Amino acid sequence: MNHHSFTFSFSFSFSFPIKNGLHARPASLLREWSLKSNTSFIFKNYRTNKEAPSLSILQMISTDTEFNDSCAVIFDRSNVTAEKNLELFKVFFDTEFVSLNKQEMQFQEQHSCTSNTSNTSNAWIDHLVKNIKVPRESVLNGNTLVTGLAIAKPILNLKKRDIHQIDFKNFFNDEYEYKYDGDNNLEILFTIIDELKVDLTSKIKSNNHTTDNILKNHLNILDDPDFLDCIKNKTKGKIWEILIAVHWHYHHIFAKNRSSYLRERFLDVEDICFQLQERLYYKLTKSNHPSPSLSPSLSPSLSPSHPYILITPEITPSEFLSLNLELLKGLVLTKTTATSHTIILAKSFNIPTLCIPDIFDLDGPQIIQIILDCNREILIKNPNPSQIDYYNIEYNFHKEQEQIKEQTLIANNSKVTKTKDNHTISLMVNSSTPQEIPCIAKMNVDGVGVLRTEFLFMERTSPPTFEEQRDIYLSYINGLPNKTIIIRTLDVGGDKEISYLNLPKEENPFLGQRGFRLYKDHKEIILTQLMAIIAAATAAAAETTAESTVRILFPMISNFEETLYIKELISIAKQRQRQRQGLNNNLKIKIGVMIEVPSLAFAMKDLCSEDAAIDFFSVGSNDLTQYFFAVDRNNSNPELNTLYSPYNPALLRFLKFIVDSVHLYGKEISICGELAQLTSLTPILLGMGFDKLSMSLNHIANVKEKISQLTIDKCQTLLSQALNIQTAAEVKSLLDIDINLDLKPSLNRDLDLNLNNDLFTADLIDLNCSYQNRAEIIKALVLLAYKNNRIEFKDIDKLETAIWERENISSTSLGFNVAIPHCRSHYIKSSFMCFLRTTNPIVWNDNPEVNMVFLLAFSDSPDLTTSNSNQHLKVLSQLSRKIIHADFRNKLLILQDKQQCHALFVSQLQNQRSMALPCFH
Amino acid sequence: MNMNMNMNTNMNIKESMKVVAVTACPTGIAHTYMAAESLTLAAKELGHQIKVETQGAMGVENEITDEDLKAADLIIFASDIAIDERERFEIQRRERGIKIIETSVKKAITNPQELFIK
Repeated sequence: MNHHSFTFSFSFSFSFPIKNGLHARPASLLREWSLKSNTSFIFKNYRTNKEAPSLSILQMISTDTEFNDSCAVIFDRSNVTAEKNLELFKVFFDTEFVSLNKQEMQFQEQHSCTSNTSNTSNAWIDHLVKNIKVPRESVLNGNTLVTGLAIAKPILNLKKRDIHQIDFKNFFNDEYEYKYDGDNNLEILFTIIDELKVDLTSKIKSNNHTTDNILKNHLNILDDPDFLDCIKNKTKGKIWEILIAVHWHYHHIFAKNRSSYLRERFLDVEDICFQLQERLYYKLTKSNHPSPSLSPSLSPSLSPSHPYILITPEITPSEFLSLNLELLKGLVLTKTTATSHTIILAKSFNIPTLCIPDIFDLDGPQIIQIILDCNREILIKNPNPSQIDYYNIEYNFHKEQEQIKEQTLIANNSKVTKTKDNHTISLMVNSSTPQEIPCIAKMNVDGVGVLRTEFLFMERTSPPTFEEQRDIYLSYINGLPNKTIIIRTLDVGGDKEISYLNLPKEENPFLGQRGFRLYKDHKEIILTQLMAIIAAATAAAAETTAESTVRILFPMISNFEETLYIKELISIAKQRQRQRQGLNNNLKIKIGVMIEVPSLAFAMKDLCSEDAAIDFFSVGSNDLTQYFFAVDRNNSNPELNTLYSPYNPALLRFLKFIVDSVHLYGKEISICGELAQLTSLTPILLGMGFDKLSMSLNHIANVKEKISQLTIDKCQTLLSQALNIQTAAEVKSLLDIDINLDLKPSLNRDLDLNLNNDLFTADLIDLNCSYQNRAEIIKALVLLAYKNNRIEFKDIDKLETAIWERENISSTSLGFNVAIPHCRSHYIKSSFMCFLRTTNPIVWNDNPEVNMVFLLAFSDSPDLTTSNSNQHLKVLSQLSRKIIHADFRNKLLILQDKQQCHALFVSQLQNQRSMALPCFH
Repeated sequence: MNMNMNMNTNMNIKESMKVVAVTACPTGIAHTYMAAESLTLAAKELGHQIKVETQGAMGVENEITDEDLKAADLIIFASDIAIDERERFEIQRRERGIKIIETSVKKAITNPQELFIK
């Protein structure tokens, strides 16, 4: 099997599993494991024939290891614990290390730019040139690295950074020739390294997680044995030449790397070399002024007092962090990709960033202002005031939206979870580390829905002690007073392994020994855990308390008989605990089981009986779904992956059946898998009647927000619709439409309803605006429609350009002081009208006196029924007719209140409707 | 469509006409109907009878029938696009010498009165 096994008896061969290759993150993970396990190994790549010690991240990266390369780790056989270490490594490798892939994919998804394709970008440029009169040569195309919009003065820094430019020679002239002294040089350099380490460590306390990670990465380089050796080996020569040599050493190594992803990591080493060289310069010259040629972006001329967009070929993470980030509004770079650490930082600070092919297009003093539109991957040089005004509407809109989002998030975290019709819903948190306790406490949730105790058992060589466990459980109980804490007993096996349990290798671990099924073989471990839970519950409860806030939840139960064993385990644990330190016999601790195995659905009567004594149930939707459809949820085959769908109506009917059965026997049921955090399914779960939804911390705010928009009636209606649909895709689109518009197209709405509810509301009115021209008004109308959920965010530009397309055919203002821009398009989910009135008349094409603008947007969406769309058209056509009437227009001109305005429209249309169809009058 | 075509024979023919009109515009959402309304209002003011067919996004509405056409004194097209089934009007022009006034939607909206000239 392993053909090296006779040479290196303690080696482990594998295909390198990380998609991005062996870059800084996997390398530091290997190093961390090595440090934690108090052992070291050699990492060997058989393709490149390079090897590296586990303690040097730089050397490991230098092995140029790519995905699927044939590799091995080799442990020193002279070490007595080598064999055991190798076993531990395999566990680490199969779990934590491989899971890095998943993390990185998520990370890349988060950081990948969801920017427009070049097609839409071109359409936008056409729009700017044609309708906003931006000269085509002022627009530069690029690639968006961080989305967003910025309007500011540019600061150009086109000098390429060059470590050779740090000019020590001029400083050390004849009067003092810095002599070669190897030991002295080293001493100075190591002092500087220590100083930089202290400096970086002090910066790590920032609140920005991304910044901290990158600083830690830099600290790792400064600790790297290979890096330090490299410095030690280069002591021959002048001291300032050492770091240059180190810089080139790594430059050569990384430049040879086949993966661009890995080549990029050189930027971090380069960054460190620069920082050291800079410190060296200060130290030797004893000067407080930065070297003029060093790190140009740090130079004083780049510390402006006004908001600015920095234009520079490239920038290191530490340079980025030293910028005035309050005033930095945007970044324009040439040589960077989305995965570089600088870009990850820019993303975390919300700095819109564009990469343009030739930055020297921007050279010259004539550029005084820039619009950086990273949402459409363009940059506009020297826009005129009206173009800036036009873009400012959008800019202010985004600012406003961000504020609203932030405020709702803060408000949602602390507010009680209630539906629109005032039903309180119980939300709980899935927790797997006590570090989350302070956050959970701030959330206004009902406690912990699943405490995943596996974290206590993993990555160690023996199980946690009674005391250790009790203290952790107590920290939850005390940190979250009066909240329910549902502690799930050890749930390993399947994809979670623990070395000291010596789990058998199984063909199909998900269908084998996992969760509860391990308890008979590892009775003592589970008894210790139960005792620790009981002890913590007892310690926290007052003597008089009848029911503990602590509950115990058992995973992977498949039949009634197992609940009898639960009873037995609990009674042994209680008895032992009583002997140990006395036990409050009256304290009731509720016992529950997870519903992951479909068979339980048909055992509810028995599970809810006196014999089983189960108090509550919790659906583990991830496992339940995979067992229900017989498909692995991590399956890499995309075809099979579609089988695992939370929207499948069969699964929804099954869940409904389970909830109904549990409620029939008067017990409580919650749901704690990923299903609970999908906001599109929130109405479905509430409609089914789940008593509690439990999810990870970061989903609470979104789900709360969703719940606040729902009524129980609506949830039940949606549920009954979903249960009567045949395919997952249809269920998903039913729920998605609902999310996007929160307005369900219904078949039989009459005109009043249309006018009151979806076609036109008072919110779609904006009176007394101060816009200057047609472009601004159209932009404002489109954004008004978006704010009121009439179109999706991604369709904003499409709607705007569709309106302009009609404008360009012929004027939409045909007299009076009225303009009626309009369009029909399938991007519009449901037809609507907006009304906007300006304080001063504006020019609309050839009409100089427009101050009332109606936007009529008609949906071509194939989702709409014909009768519904005809209703909408009828209302729009009748509104158009009304505009001809001077009395109607005059009233519209003077009304000062949106509601009155809306009421006028409604009353006018009702009158019109009562008129007979026009024939010969 | 059951039209009331009974005319008051005592009416002063010179002043009161029976007018049929068709309105149409590119998108068929707004201007078609504004023009129809504008023509209707103007006809009322001038004491004419009018029937306006709209060719808009909802298709043809209030369709001009053969009967309407036979009784008509004047035809108005207020349109920025081609009129559907134009031939039925042309026949009236050829056979009865009825005048067809062709104008833009804009004209029908801004100065409709000027169109009612036989």
